[in-house]
Amino acid sequence: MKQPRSRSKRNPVPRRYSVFFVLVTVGVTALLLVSLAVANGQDLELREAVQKFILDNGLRILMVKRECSPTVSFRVLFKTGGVDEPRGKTGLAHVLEHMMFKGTTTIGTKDYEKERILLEKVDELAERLLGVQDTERGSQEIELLRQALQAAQAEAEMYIQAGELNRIYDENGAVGFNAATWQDGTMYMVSLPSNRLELWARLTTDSIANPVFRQFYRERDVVVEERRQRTETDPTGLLTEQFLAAAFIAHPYGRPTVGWLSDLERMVRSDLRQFYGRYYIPSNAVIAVMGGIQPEQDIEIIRRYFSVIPPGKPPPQVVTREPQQQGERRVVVKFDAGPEVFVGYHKPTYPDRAAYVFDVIDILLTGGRTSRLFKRMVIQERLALSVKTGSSLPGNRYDNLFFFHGVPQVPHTSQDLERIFYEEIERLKTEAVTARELQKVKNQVRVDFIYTLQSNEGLASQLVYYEAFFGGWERMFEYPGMIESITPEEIMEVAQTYLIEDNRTVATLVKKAQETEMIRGE
Amino acid sequence: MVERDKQEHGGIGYSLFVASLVVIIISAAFFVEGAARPGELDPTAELPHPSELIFEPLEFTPPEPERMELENGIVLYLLEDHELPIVKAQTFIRAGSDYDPPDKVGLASLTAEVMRTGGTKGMTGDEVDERLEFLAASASASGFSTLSEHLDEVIALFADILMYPIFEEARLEVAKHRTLELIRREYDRPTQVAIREFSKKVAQGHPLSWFPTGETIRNITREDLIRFHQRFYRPNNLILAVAGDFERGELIEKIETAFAKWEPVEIDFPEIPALPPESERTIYYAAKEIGQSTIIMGHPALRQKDPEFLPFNLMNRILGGSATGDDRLFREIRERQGLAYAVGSFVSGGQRYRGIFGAYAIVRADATGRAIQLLLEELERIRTEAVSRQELKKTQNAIINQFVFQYTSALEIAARAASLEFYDLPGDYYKTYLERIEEIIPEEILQVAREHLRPDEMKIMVVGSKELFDRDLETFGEVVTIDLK
Repeated sequence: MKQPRSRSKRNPVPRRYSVFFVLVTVGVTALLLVSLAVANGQDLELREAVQKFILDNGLRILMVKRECSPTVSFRVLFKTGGVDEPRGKTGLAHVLEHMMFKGTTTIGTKDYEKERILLEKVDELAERLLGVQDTERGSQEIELLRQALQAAQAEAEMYIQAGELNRIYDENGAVGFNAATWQDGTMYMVSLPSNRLELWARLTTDSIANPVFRQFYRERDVVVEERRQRTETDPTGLLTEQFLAAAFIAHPYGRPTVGWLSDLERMVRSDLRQFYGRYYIPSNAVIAVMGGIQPEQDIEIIRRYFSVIPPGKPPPQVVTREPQQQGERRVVVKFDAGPEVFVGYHKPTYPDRAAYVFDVIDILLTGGRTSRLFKRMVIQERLALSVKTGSSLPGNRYDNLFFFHGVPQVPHTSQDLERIFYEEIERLKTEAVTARELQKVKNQVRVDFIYTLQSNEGLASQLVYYEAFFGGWERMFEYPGMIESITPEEIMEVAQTYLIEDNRTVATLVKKAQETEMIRGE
Repeated sequence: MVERDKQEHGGIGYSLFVASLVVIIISAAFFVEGAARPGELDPTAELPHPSELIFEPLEFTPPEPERMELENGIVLYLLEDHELPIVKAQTFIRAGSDYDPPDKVGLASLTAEVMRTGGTKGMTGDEVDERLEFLAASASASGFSTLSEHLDEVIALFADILMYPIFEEARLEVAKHRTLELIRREYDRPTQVAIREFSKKVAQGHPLSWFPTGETIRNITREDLIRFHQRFYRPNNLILAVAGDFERGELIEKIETAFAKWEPVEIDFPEIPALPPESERTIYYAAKEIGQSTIIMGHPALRQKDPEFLPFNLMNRILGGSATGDDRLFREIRERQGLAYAVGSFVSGGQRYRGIFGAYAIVRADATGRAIQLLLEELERIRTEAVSRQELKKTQNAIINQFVFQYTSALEIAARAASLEFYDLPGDYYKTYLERIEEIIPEEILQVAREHLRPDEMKIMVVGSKELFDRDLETFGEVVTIDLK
């Protein structure tokens, strides 16, 4: 099954990936989508090593003891992401993720009681300022409020211990201390020397139960810069945002996880508190602990700490479903960069069988140098610098898109790439895949799975993902069998059903300066 | 890894922002201080302060890779690891972009790529692709990776790729055309522009500053690839780290058989031009119509062999090179001022020649001047005021406690040992590493910063839209405008 996973520099095997709309806080790491399959029997051993615990407050914990260096990797996944944000509040899940690094009532403060009062004053001024800006009253009042807000922030900051959470983790040898937010969820990650498990339990319990969203307005500015860096100054980022907004007209998958600029600029701390209160409850989270641990002893430490977190009401669910598309949609984005193109088709997500078939189609088309599109477009006809496909854009909690992305090579154009995409889709519909070609795909899936098991980080991410979104971590081990069972006929059938013109969205990036030339050329 | 000192510092796709921390290694049993775990937690009481927690000592004997040398000069570093049915190998070959002829920049990288794609003895490029992908394995000039059940076949293929590449013309054309397209697009992303232009200025005259252009790529022919391969790809220039699910005796035999016909030849390595000497601070500006500026400032720094290299690295970590965002630049420019999402400092390279020190920030356009000012101020502060004992101690603890993460992957352990030999560093370099880290005192950090961190000599690269800047760049020194078109 396709799921996000930290990109590992260690892994030399090329993987199909998609970096769209996964936002990572501390580093510049991207997440990618990998597929899984069956191992030779290692999967059985591993399956038996997974232990699952459920605390009284509903929190689920998966533990695996491995023979390795004395290190342990932690993953905390909240089933809360961009899709859960109310209209006008895009970016909340991601800003909340950033704010979870700002400390608690006991970490990051010199005197929380005094700080709290000042933070409330900051909130009040910030909300008044927004109100005044809305009514377009005198600029003098705005300026006064702005100054008062600055002063209040400075005063509140006198009580903070800046970066204390980061410092504690760093000093204790943390590696990969980071977090990621995407449409479907939010994941917090860190690895520590294995004797530091209690430290992690202490800090994480506190972060979930008693976070303090200090320095909020500064961090909001940081996120605005993140948006500029990833979306507004990056051609592929910008095109992806417009592509998804066109493909989804009703479902929140059409909105950017980083948030629209105007939503970010108006976000206030009370929005955050409300969102946090609704979604950051134990039954909405899954934790994985992998590595040099003693599950029987360590679960007691974990239980002791995490039981402190009060249970909550199950959070609301996304009710909107994307209506069936009634005809092709096309978007053009003009930007100071070379051309590129996206083509996407709506499709069901897991556990619908078509979702598994699309995973196979994905590898058939772009999994490696011998894949159909790469071989034809990059090697034989030299039309493209690169070509990619993916079967779970922008997430897979809900029905999603199968997409094609191509970067043309001079003198070829996006239209040339589109034409080949459609020819190859036609081929999928009319010609059965040979047994050999299908076997190659299945072999790749199988080996990919083994590589995924290598690192504690990778395994932990997979397990929490399946547990949170796909009905249990055990499903991870059923995936390879599903892929193994897919037939050439099914591939044809799925292509015929979903890869059709009326179900298609096309987004092209056009170089600003060449715009007139291009129109003339047509 | 084919040696690409240069590519890693400046080639297409290179990211300066990946902190290039020194790898560290120990071989003795290893302890982290601490005592027993505390008793039950009272759920109604406050959580204990993290500093009150005590940790059991960690005891761990890291595995040691085995070194051996084959008759034709190939050096092996081997480490068995049977957890999963995989074998992986990484090559160390001095055949990187450092040795590109100035009028054929890109040759080393095209050679490595087309060795893999352009066919080998008895197999076309297409056939190699087909075979490897059916096995779901990889093999190239930089190493291989396979299920252990296919080890024999993959080693044989890997050896043929290294020894007998065909360099099919058609595949060379594919690689050249893709490179040309990348060059056409090199100004599309502001951060990429900044890294590239910064490298060109900071390392002027040195291969680190050379980038392929349309001209250098078009100059390269199949004959060039053949000559480059013959000159540098020799058994006496190969160190191979192998880790995974194999039995050592069998593996050695397989490798010996596969490479038996490869003859050692004395290699005449080209002289690499020096990095530029110290000069006045210069600001370089490249226009891009965007609402955000990328700033990178820096200069050549130290070699890994220099005694001050470690204190300098520690200084960098305190300044802006931490792993978790616990450093001065992150705290000041990101957390306190909210100006940037990406901010930090780095020390890259230093193995074969001096490394590069740099500090960077990606900030909104109307804070460009302020950000440059803040970066300069933080550089000035660390070279005029000694860091506190506490700040230093914390950083030393971080390095010591992170140490066990050097041993999470068998291939990394083998490759790290191989890289010491590759870079002519003493075999015990990492054995004394922690001791040397612990001995560093605040005065040394101050000394090394004062001497080797020189804001007045930095090249400052700014990519953005100056109409939107809060200050004239001239405020900071002489400004030279770079024309990107």
